[in-house]
This record gives sequence, structure tokens and C-alpha cells, in this order.
Amino acid sequence: MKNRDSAQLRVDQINAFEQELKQLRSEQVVTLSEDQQQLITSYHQKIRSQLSTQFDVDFNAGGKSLTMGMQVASFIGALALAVSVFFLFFQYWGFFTTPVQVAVLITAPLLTLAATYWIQAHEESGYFAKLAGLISFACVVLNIFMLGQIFNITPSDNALLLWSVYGCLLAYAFNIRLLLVASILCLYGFIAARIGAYNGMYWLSMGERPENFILPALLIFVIPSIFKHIKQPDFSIIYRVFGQCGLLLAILVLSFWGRASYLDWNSDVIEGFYQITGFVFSACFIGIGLKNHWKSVLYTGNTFLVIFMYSKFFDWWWDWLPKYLFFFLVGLSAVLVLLIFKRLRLLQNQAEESLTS
Amino acid sequence: MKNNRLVIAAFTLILSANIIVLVKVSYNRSQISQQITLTEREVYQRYRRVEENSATSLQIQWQTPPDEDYGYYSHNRYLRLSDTTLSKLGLKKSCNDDNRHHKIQREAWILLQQNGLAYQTHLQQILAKIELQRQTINAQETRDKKSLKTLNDKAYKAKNKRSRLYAIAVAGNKESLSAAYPEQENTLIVKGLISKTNHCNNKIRINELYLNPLHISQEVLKESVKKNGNQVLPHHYDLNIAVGALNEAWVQSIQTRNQNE
Repeated sequence: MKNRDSAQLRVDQINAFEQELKQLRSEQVVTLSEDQQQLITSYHQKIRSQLSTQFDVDFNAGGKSLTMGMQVASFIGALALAVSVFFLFFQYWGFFTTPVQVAVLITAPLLTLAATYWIQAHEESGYFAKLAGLISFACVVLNIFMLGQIFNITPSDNALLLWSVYGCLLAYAFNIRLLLVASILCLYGFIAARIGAYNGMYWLSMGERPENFILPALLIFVIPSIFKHIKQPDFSIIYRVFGQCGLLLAILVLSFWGRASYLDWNSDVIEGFYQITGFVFSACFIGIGLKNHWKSVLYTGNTFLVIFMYSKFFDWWWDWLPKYLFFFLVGLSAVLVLLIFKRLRLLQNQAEESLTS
Repeated sequence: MKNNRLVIAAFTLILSANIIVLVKVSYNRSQISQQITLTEREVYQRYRRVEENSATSLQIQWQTPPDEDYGYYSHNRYLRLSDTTLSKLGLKKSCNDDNRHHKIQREAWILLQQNGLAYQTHLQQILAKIELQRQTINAQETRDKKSLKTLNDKAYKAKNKRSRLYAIAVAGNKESLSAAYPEQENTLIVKGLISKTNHCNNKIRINELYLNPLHISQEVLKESVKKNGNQVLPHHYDLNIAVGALNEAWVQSIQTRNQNE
């Protein structure tokens, strides 16, 4: 087993097999001798024991619910602790001399990184290591941010690159998805800032031109296609979803706010152009998701297609159609979307069946 | 094994980043390229809740010389530039209503002048305006007595309270500003953010100076007054600001000044 997800899949498979075997035996479709039954049971127990020790998997629905609860608690705890680090430092830093402030800022991320490494080596579930990893990331953000404040350094987009790289290193070292998300967002900011600066604008004003985010979105989307993530399949999903969302959100904003474009055309023309582009890209992502069996890409493409469609309806009809007719048409379109999704699901199932056979 | 390499890389990254920052700070402060002295009129302590933020930082108050369009009370941020300067900054006079290109902020070098000709001229304009209004007032009328008091307060504030720091010029590079205003006392050339106004003229707006906010270290604050746990600055002081080799500013010292000086 390469990772926890594949281990959990194996355990689920065993549980499903046992349930199905029980059903078949009760319907007298199949009969197993005592020896065969004993052999299968002891084999499955051995696998379960190994996987439980190695990957801390769940054996039943109750266990899975608790795991979900632990993940939520871990997420909230990590965010809260990270924020508390900031406020702790802000509360007391004014009483320290500059050398002490600098020493605290530099040692905090180093110590928390060491702590994360130690915790991961001594703790099986990985939740506490993830907590410590997030705190370490918060300490690095605080480190650079506060050095800038203390020495009155002009803000620079290089900080975003540093945070992105650090977040990425920790995400891969300790398998922390939230840090990968933080790393991707920082990378977005850095590339968009550089594109903006190249076009003559101040880097912090990158948001005033959503087109700055299109190139980084495409780059992020293709990362998992270039670097295969066999041990961390979740990471591929995160890259693709965030790449898609970045691209389609930028296009969505431009479809309403043509003035924010670099293009030197009339605003209405720009908005129309991006509305069409939004539909085209959403449809492309749906096609890519279907072809490559990437459910996340398919669902995200579907979602944005629906958003673009309903925003167009609103644009066209809200002002002049009677409200009952507007909502009736929206309802009819929902039925049409349902039929399309049903067809897409059928195609996907057929594609998966042909893949397994 | 791969995990160890990633952790070592993360350690190295933190150390390298901090070393680079500290080396740059040391290099910046190793040479002083500019210095200026400001007073409590030009600088004020930024408000913060002591329970949440124990450090002290300062905000610099500045304005541009008034244009005929604006009254003398506004903290003017607009500056009129020549066509050449405008085009060198990558801005253009655009007369359409679509202001998308104008809102974009750009970096530029800004010349600040402390208690110089710009301030003196503006002060004279303010006092002349106050005098003109005073002449229309009948000193015997009760309502006019209040107006007279208001005018006197304004005159006093203009002479004794208003900031004397003015942004008088903008350019795309520091050298052209130094060449245009050579050997001027009490001036500072700093970087800031500007944007073009969306009017059909040569005006730009100075949105921000990179000087703000200015952090003051604990060492510099040694002589400040402690009151109710809230470190405050003296009522009258001279703040010495230095700018280094990399054009980053820092507070060198705060010296208390007698009110009469």
C-alpha cells in the first residue's frame, strides 16, 4: 500500500466482500467449507492488522465519522493556533529590543519545524504533526512580515514566493493538504504580482487586473500532469481544482467587470468576450474530466458552467421578464441541466466500465 | 529519506531568507544617503490598542501644494506635472470616461520638502484668506465674534500645528529629482505610489509614501514617557529619519524639544 487512501480502500473492499459473501450465503448462491472460511477470515484479519498499524485506517462507518470529526477539529485547531501565534507576538514584541525580536522571529519557525518532524516520527495518526506543521508555516509568515515591519522594509512580492516554497516543502514532507492550498495561493499571488509588475502596475494592485491570474491558474492546473503524484493522489486533485477555480473565477469577474481588463476594447465587448470564454473553458474542463476520469475537474467544470449560465439569464431577463416567468425559465434550464448531467454520468460510467474490463 | 531532504530544505530556506534580509538591512544602514528632521507637527503616533499591539509606529502627515481647485483645509494629494514627466512615468492625459487605466497605481520617486518654500507660500495664502474674511466681520455682532474666534483658531493652527511637509515633485527615477532640486536642505526623496486622475489634465494623485508607517525600536524609545502602560512620545520632539543605501528609512533618534524652541 502506497498511502492511507489506498489502505482505506483495501479495508473498505474487504468489508464489502464480507457483506456480499454473507448475502450470497444467505441466498444459498455459494457455499464455503469451514477451512476455506477460516483461511479467508485469518487472511483478512492479518491485512486489517497490518494496515491499522501502518496507516491508522477505519474499519467501520463509526470509525470514519470519528476520523472526519478529528480532521475538522485538527483543521480548526491548526487555524486558531496559527492566528494565536500572530497575536501573541504582537502583544509582547514592543517590550523587546530589536535583537531579541529578531532572535524570536528566526527561532520560532526553526523550532516548530523541528517539533513537527519529531511529532511525525513518534505519532501514527499524523494529526498532531499537521497541527505543528501549520503553526510552523504561520511562524514563517510572521517571521518575514514582522522583519519587514521592524526594519521598515518596503513590501515585496518575494515574500509570497518564499511562503509558497516553504508551504510546499512542508506539505510534501508531512502530507498536509491545507499547506499545499496555502502554497498554491501564495504562488498565485507571486506570479500574478510579477505579471502585473511587468505590465507597469504596483505588485499589490494585482487584483485590479484579473487577467494576471490566468497564466498561474493554467500552470497550476498542469502541474500534476507533469509531476505524477502516486503517493499523494489528493494533491493532484487540489492542483487541478485550484487551477480550474483560479482560471474560471478570473473569467467570471471579467465577464461582469470589463473595465478591469488589459484589453483596450469597449467594456461591453470585453464582457461578452469573457462570457463566451467562460462557457468554452467550462465545457473544455467537462470534456477533460470525462476523458481522463477526473471527477473533481468534471464537477468543478459543471459548477462553473451552471454559474455562467445563470448569470447570463440574470443579465438577459431579470429586468424585463415578469419574475414568475424568469424563475420558470430558470427551472426549465435546471431540468435541461439535469438531463445533460444524467447523460454525462452515463458516459462516465460507460468509460469506467470499459477501463475496468 | 525524501522526507528528511525536504525538512533539511525547509530549514535551509528559513535560514537563508533571514540571512538575506538581515544582510540587506545591515547594508542599507551602513551608509546614510539622506537625512531629515521632522517634528510632532509632521508625525503622529498611530493609534493601537496596547493590549493587542505593544509596539509604536508613526504616521507621517504630508500634503501637496494646493491647487486653485481646492480649499486650503484639505490634505491635498494632487500634483500637476509637465507633459514630459507624465509620459516618462508611463501615464497619459486621457479624456475618456472609462477610467480603467487611471486607477492603476505605479511606483514613483517623490520629493518631500520640510518647512520650505511650498509651506511658506501655502501659509501666506491661508493667512491672507483669513485676513480677508476678518475684514468682512463686524466685531460687535455676537455671531461674528464666534466667526472671528474660529478664524483666529485657524490662523493659529496654520502657523503652529499644521504639518510643514510637502510633496513637491514626482519623477520616474531618483537621479532626475536630485538633479532638478540639487543641494536643498530638509528634503527627502522617497518612493511612493501614484495614479493618474481620471480628469483630462496633467494631474496625478500621490496615494501613499513608502515611509508610512515608521516603526520605532525599543532602543530609540528609551527616553519616551510611560503613562498607564501606554508608551507615548513627548509633546514636542524632533524626529531624525535616515535613509540608507537601499533607500529604506529608519528612525535614528527622538529628541525632546522645549515648547519655546
